[in-house]
Amino acid sequence: MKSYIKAISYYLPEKVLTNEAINAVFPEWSVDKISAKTGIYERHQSAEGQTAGDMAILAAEKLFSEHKIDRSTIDFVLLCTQSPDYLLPTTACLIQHKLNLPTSIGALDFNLGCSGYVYGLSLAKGLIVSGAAKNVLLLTAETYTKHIHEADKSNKTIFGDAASASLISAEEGFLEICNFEFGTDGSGADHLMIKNGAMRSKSMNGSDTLDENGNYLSNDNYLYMNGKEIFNFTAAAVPVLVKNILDKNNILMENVDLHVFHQANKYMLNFIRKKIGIPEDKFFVDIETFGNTVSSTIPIALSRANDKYLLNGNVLIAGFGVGLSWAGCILKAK
Amino acid sequence: MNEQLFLEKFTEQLEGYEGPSITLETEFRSIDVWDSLTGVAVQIMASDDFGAVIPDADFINAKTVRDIFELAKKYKS
Repeated sequence: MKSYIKAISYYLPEKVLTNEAINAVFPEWSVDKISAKTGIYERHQSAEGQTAGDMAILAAEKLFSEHKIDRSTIDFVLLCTQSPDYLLPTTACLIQHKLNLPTSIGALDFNLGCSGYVYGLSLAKGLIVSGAAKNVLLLTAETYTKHIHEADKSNKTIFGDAASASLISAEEGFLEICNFEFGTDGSGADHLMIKNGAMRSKSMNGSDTLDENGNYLSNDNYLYMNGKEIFNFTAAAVPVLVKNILDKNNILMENVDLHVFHQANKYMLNFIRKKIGIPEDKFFVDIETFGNTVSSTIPIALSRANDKYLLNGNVLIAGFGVGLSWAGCILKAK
Repeated sequence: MNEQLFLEKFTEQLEGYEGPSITLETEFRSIDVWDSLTGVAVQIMASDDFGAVIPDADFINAKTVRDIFELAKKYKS
């Protein structure tokens, strides 16, 4: 049995953090120069009190209305988030209720970041191919801006909040989901981490670590990213991932019509593109007005590429990041 | 290790750079597009293209392109 992406919608919170706003707080920070490099000029921020669950619901409602989808046909909900509404219950259960979905459905969260959408597709495909479900609502939602310390200008310039909703179905859709390749290396877990607040280190007793000039470096209560290590990991893992995806799908690189990678930042994406030897016109980069939205970058990019009629033939998607975790697959456009 | 090839590969990492040609004597940290991302890219380039894993502690002290070239020669496996 085959499985397809039938439709994708996404939601961006109203509040926008501009370069000017960042510069006003950090006048010494040449944010325009950094934007020229990262390709990110604006990021959306969830409102106070607005959760990943709230945003996932808004994305799902957009999916239902924009694509005229009957919600009663949904028989499984998967939510990818690292910012759940509560420690328990799983946010997907609350979403089932708030979206008025049937109580006969299955619903669960899974905790992954930038590789999450690809993993979600593989889980949804598994449910469909096994006959356990026919129409899976795959949601991604993240509020990383709530995990970022006020003084952490580096991460503030990169990350934005967003949610996406995809309908994965046994019925034919615009993208057929083909074969997957996965990767995991927990030895790099501390390169991208929020240490405090969960069971290993429950008390939020972190304090600011500063460099010799008094600039913020880290605080265990907040998101920490070792950019150098993440760059090193990406440069090493992604070329191998791409090769293995091609092998698993029995296709050559020249037969890939578009590459849609996790939109981390423009400089790193171009570095990997050149390293792998992907032509610029077969490589989708679209990050300027929303930044790195973690598990939502790939569905947002697919939706926007589709709007521009860029999805034809073989589309290679690849996600990579926190975990460390990576995955990719081929999507065949109809 | 070929100086010219090293210089070419180094210059390739300077995305968006439009100034005078880079030489081995260029003090790279004063190049307008230079930042920590470029630094990581240069270290990965040295490793991938020249088999030289340059430790951070040495890289931090490099001032000119020649300094990095010498480090690449020193740490070439």
